[in-house]
Amino acid sequence: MTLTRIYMEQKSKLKQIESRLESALKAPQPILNEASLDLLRAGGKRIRPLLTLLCAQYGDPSRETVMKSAVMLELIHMASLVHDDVVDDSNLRRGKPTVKAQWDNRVAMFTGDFIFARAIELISDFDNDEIHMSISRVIRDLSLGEIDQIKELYHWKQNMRVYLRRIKRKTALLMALSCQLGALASGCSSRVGLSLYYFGYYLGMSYQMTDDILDFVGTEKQLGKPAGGDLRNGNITLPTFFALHKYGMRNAILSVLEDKNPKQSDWDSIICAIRDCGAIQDSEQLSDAYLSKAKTILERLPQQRATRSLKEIADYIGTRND
Amino acid sequence: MSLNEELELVYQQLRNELNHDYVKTILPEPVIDRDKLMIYYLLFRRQESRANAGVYAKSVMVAEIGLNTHEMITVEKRSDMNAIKMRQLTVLSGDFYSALYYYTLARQSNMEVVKWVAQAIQTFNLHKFAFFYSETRLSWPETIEIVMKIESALVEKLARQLGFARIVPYLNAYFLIKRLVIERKNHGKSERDSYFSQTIQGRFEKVTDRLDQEIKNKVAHLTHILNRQENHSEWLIQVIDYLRDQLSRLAEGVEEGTY
Repeated sequence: MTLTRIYMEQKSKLKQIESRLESALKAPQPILNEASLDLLRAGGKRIRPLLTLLCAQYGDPSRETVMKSAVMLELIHMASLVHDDVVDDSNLRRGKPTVKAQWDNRVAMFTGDFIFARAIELISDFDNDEIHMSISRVIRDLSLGEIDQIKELYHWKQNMRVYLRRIKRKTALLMALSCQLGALASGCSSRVGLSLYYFGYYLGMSYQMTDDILDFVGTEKQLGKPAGGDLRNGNITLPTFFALHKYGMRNAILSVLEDKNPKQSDWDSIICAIRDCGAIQDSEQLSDAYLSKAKTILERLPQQRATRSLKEIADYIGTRND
Repeated sequence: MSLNEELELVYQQLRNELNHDYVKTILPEPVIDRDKLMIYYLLFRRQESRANAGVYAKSVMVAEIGLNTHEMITVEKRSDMNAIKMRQLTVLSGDFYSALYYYTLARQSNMEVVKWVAQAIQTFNLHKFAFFYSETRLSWPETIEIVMKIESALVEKLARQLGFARIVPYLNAYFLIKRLVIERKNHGKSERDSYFSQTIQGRFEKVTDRLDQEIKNKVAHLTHILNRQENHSEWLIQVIDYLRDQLSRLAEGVEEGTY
C-alpha cells in the first residue's frame, strides 16, 4: 500500500491540480464544457502529475511553474485520450461513455484540440527554452508514435526495435517528460533533469509493457473489454511478439490474424495459447529489466524522501494489475 | 528575390515539412492555402528577417492545417478497413501538424506567437461548436457570420497582435468569400471537400442560390472597401493590392459561374 502513502503525502497538491484542471477545462460552450468536465470526473491515476510533483522535490517544489507543468501534462494526456478514442473507435473508457460515444467524432476532435491548445497556452509563459524544446519534441513524437502504431497494425514481421520505438513514443516519452519537467520547473540543473528524464523513460517503457501484458492476462472486468483486445485489433505487442518469434506460434497466430472473419472461439483459443506459452514470462522479464534500469538511475540521485517514493512507484509498476 | 519567389520558397519548405512517408500513402496531401500563407508571411515580414518571417508563417499555417485536417473527420459508423484507416490517420496527422507548430516555434524561442496561436485555436474551436452544435436555430446571416469567424480566427488574431488591426475587415471578408466559393463549388460532394454546406443543407432551403447571392454581395462589398482611397502605409498598400488581385481572380469565376 506504499503507493497509497505517496498519494496521501501529495494529496493537497494533487487536489490543487484537480482544481486547476477544472478551471482550465471550463469553457463558455455547453457541450465543450460538459465533455471536458466529464473527462476530468472520469478520474485516472494522475501518475504523470504525481511524477512531476515528486521530481520537483529535488529542487524548489513550491515554484508556480511546477504546478503549471503538472496541470499541462495532464491536459496533454486528456487531449490525447479523447482523440485516441476516435482512433480506436472506443465507446467506453474507465467504464464511462467516451466523448465520441456520448456526442460524436467531431465533438471529440474539437474538444481534444481545445484542451491541447489550453495546455500549450498555460505553459507559454515559461521563460525556459530547454523546457519548451523538450515538451514540444515529446508532443511531436507522441503523434508520430500513434501514426507508427497504425502503420504497424497486422505487420507481424516487425522486429523488436520497431515495437520498442513505438511504445517509447506512445507512453514512455510523456512519463520521461513528466519527470524532467518536475526537475527543470523546480530549478534543478539540466543534469538532474536528464537523469530524471531517463528514470521516467525506463519507467514508462515498463509501464507500457505491463499494459500489454495485462491486456492478455487481465479479466474482462479488470480491463473493461475482452482480453487480447490489442491482438484482435491487429496490434502486435510484446507477448505476441515473443509468441511469434520464440515459441513457434507463427502459423497459429497468422491463421486468425489474417482470417477476414475469425470466430470468437478462434480468438479466445489463440489468446489463451499466447498466455500459456511462456511469452508472458518473457515480457515480464523485459519489463523488469527496464524497471531495474530506472532504479539504477535513482541510486545516483540524492537519497531523499522523493527518491524512495520514486522507487516505490517503480515497484508498483512492476506488480500492478490495473 | 521577388515577394512571389519568397512565398514560393516558403510554400515548398512547408510542403516538405508536412510530408509524412506513411500518411501520404493513405490521405491526400494537405491543402496549403497560398493566400493565407502569403498574408501570414506579410504580417511577419514587416518586422522580421526573410528567414524568420518564413518560419513563423509556416508555423501558423501548419497549426491551421492541423485544425482543417480534423475538420475532415467523418462522424458516421464505418466498417471497411480503408475508411477506418483514413479516419484514424485524419485524427493523427492533424495531431502531428498541431504538434509541429509548437515544435518549430520553440526552436525559434518565440513563445509569444505560440501563445497567440494557442489562444486562436481555442477561439476557432468555440466558433466551430457554435456552428455545429448551436442551441438555437441559426439564421442565415448568423451562419455566415460564424463561418467568417471560423475562417479568420487565426489570421485575425495574428493581425491584431502584430498591430495590424486595420486590415482585419479586409481579411475577414476575403477569407469568407474564399470559403463560400469552395463550399459552392463542392456542394453536394463528399464530406472531405466541404465542412459546412453539408451541415446547413437541412437547415436552409436553396443553399446553392443563397451561396451564389452571398458570394456576389460579399465580392461587391470587399471590392468597394479595397478600392476606397485612404491614407495607407506602403506595407498596407502591398496587402491591399495582393487581396485585390486575388479577389478579381475569384470574382472572374463567380461572374462566369465556373467557380
